[in-house]
Amino acid sequence: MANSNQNNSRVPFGWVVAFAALSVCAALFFLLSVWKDYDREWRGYQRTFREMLVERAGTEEERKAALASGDQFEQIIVAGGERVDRCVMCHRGVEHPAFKDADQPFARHPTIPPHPFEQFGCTVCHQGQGRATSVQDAHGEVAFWEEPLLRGGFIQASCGPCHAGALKDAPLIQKGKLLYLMNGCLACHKIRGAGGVVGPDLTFAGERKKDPKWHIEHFKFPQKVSPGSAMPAYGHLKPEDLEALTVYMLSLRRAPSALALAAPRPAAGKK
Amino acid sequence: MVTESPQKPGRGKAVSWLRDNRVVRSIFRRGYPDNDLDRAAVMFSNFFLHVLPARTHVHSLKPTYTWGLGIISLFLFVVLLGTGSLLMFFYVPSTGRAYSDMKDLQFVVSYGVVLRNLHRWAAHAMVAVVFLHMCRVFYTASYKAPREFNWVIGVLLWGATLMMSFTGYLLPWDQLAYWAITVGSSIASYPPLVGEYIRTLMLGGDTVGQNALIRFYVMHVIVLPGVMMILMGVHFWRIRKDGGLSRPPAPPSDAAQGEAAAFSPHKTYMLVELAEGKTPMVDTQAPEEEVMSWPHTVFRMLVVFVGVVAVLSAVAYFFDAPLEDLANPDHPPNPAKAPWYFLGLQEIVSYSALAGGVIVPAAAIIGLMTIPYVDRDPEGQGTWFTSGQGRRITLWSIVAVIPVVLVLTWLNEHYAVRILVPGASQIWVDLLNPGTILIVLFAAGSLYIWRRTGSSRMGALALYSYFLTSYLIYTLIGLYFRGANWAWIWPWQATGLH
Ligand code: HEC
Ligand code: HEC
Ligand code: HEC
Ligand code: HEC
Ligand code: HEM
Repeated sequence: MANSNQNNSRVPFGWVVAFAALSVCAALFFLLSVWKDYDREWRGYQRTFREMLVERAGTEEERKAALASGDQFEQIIVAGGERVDRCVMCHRGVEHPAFKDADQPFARHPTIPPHPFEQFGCTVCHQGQGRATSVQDAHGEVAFWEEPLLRGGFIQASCGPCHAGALKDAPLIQKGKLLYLMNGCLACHKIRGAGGVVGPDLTFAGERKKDPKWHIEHFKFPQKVSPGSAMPAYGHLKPEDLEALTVYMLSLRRAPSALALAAPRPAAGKK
Repeated sequence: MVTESPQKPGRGKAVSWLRDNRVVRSIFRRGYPDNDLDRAAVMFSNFFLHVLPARTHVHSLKPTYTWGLGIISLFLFVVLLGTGSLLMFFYVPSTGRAYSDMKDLQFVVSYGVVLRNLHRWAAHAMVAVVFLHMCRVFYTASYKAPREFNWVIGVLLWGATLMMSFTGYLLPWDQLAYWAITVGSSIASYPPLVGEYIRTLMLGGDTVGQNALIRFYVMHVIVLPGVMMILMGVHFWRIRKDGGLSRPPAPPSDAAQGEAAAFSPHKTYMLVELAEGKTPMVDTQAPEEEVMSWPHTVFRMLVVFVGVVAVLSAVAYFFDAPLEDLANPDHPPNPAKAPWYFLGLQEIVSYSALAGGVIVPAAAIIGLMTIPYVDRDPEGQGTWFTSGQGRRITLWSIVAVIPVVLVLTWLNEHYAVRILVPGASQIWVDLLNPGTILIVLFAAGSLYIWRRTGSSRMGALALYSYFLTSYLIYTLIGLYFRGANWAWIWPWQATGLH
């Protein structure tokens, strides 16, 4: 070979520096991403729960088992995957007798006998985002999720679709129904074929708008959330009445398929 | 054989064993190239490197000439292939599952969020970078002979890149995806006679549904990547065959004149060298103008690759890919916007479907494809903007277009054909709208400059700059200045309805 110029065989120093700097930068963000992926919110709750388990352990064996348990991935698969509820990743005490008085998210669930969790999951009654594993996302209180967690009395709305008749544990639905008839809503709205046609058919109103806050706001100032609306305002009703009306509106939806599959099935898919 | 380098005995032994054991030798036959013979040989014998020449012209390595845009496009494509393949393990293209799979990627799949972010941002970056690469090739007049056909391959690659991004847009099956594709596919349905067929072929129906999803998916993961890989292979092959990257013609010298220069007594010739086409070293005047590709070109490419990875991983760390509500055919957002690179077209469609759906895209495609065959004289190859005159014409073309576009947009808001004459026939709307008017103005302007300067290159510079600037403005208008019902809003105003 004619020219074996050695000076010419070196890469300019600037490029070597650039290579070093960019490599360090890439490695840094690689490590940061690995950490971000590991450091998920639910791990913290599981750690606290383990500590509480150890405290509340009755026997030495229970204590040992609690100490030995690690972070667990857990989900309830409802209706063959139509719903996947991961609430139990944080709400770990829902079925644990020793957690009756514990703080959220670890408290034992108030008993509602015939609804085994491994068949029903959680979101069928509570709404929220079952697949999510961070608090705000799971509770559906984020942008782009239409079903926020139902808090307080609003949770009664979800009993409606499965329990068509009156239910003593969900009195607000009945109260709302009554208010609906008393306040002349029927003049403008149809439910299952009966009523007026000025406003939209409300037979499945709860499937379109699933946020209680929206309904309360809509009753108080219809034009604010629905510009140009012909619906009169109902701000003069008592707050409890608006809540009951909202519960009734939210309960107007088709029964979730979980009911159809109420027969015992090997649920509680654990990974 | 590798020459033994003077090293301390102990370390030298270990290093040379690491370098020279049988397994390593079976893979890297010549060891680390530390002399020019081996440096040339490694470029021939390594499969991945053999696409590069053994030596590179220094002009091609100037960062300010190519800005590395072509190679960045390639690396973005590689990143997309990698992250995309991994995403495929977690994604089922079914309307019932696609959205949940996105949620699972976000919440439970290890590194799912990072993968999605990398893929999403790399895809957006690729659309932008390939476009910038096209601009660099244009403004350095690198489309001229013998590179005309490689430019055409490039235009096809540009189209394929857009289609990749567009088909990928639908896959998350959220509101953003659903309505962007609905709008985008309706732009495709505007050409008369064939429009509806195009849309039906694209969607497998008249609305976006399961059929569209599976079509987009197959195009996105098999057909288009395959097409792009083949086109890229041809693209790179042609760069070699066309004599490497374009550069200013060398000043004539005594050493190299005509036929005499082609044959040099200092070289042995092989059959490939006598075949049609140039090798990168043809026209090289002096040894100072070329460097060994190993390490100079290879190392710079490595730096660019690490740079691409570093920037992408930083962006992916800080910004999450968007995911809106589940797609809901009953709930169109107002306004529904196409993906950002089609917003300029959507803006023109809002004036006239024919202009935005047919005339403008057709003019752009035909114009791009034919530029190298119209602007033929070899003037200014390898120099940004060709000359001082070219630089001025480019600058003034960009500056002149801005007020013209803004005035036309304003006129259209207040004195559009249908506002002046409510019952005007559609033909008048299609003839007298900013899109069509601009095309006529652009054609006239660039022809004038061609005649005035006597140079087709100057005309081409003006035309390209007109299109570039006006499309950019329309994209910005579509992005920030259009609200509910595509009415004009200011970016600080709420979008009105929603
Ligand atoms: C990442 C952990 C986490 C996940 C996952 C999670 N939660 Fe919670 N949850 C919490 C914490 C922490 C609280 C207590 C603070 C609060 O009320 O926000 C809580 C409180 C609650 C409460 C009581 C609210 C009240 O008004 O007092 C309900 C009901 C609830 N969660 C339901 C759910 C349901 C249903 C899911 C699944 C869709 C779920 N959570 C998933 C952490 C979690
Ligand atoms: C059959 C419907 C139903 C199902 C299924 C269900 N819950 Fe509940 N849950 C309720 C009702 C009703 C209440 C309110 C009880 C009360 O206030 O007395 C409640 C209360 C709670 C509370 C306490 C809220 C508070 O206000 O203090 C938490 C936390 C909770 N549920 C979590 C869960 C989790 C986690 C699951 C799934 C493993 C689940 N629930 C499944 C109906 C249900
Ligand atoms: C997904 C459907 C579903 C939802 C939602 C649901 N239930 Fe039930 N519920 C059932 C089924 C199924 C049974 C069992 C009926 C049986 O075994 O006869 C049941 C039984 C009951 C019973 C026992 C009454 C009886 O007839 O045996 C009560 C009380 C009850 N539910 C209350 C509630 C309350 C309160 C809520 C709302 C927080 C609720 N349920 C939500 C499906 C549902
Ligand atoms: C004068 C006629 C009128 C009366 C009376 C009336 N509404 Fe409405 N309502 C409308 C109209 C029109 C709309 C559609 C515009 C809107 O969303 O506000 C509507 C919308 C609604 C919606 C939202 C439906 C959806 O899916 O978007 C709900 C829920 C509703 N009304 C409930 C009620 C209830 C409960 C009452 C009685 C307390 C009532 N309305 C009384 C006219 C009426
Ligand atoms: C997927 C997209 C593309 C990839 C990966 C790609 C890659 C490359 C690479 C690596 C080069 C070497 C020089 C450089 O880095 O600039 C190059 C040159 C070139 N590209 Fe592309 N390119 C793509 C799209 C395009 C497009 C859209 C055009 C034009 C319409 C185009 C036209 C050309 C031409 C003509 C050359 C030769 C330039 C010269 O000789 O100076 N390419 N391309």
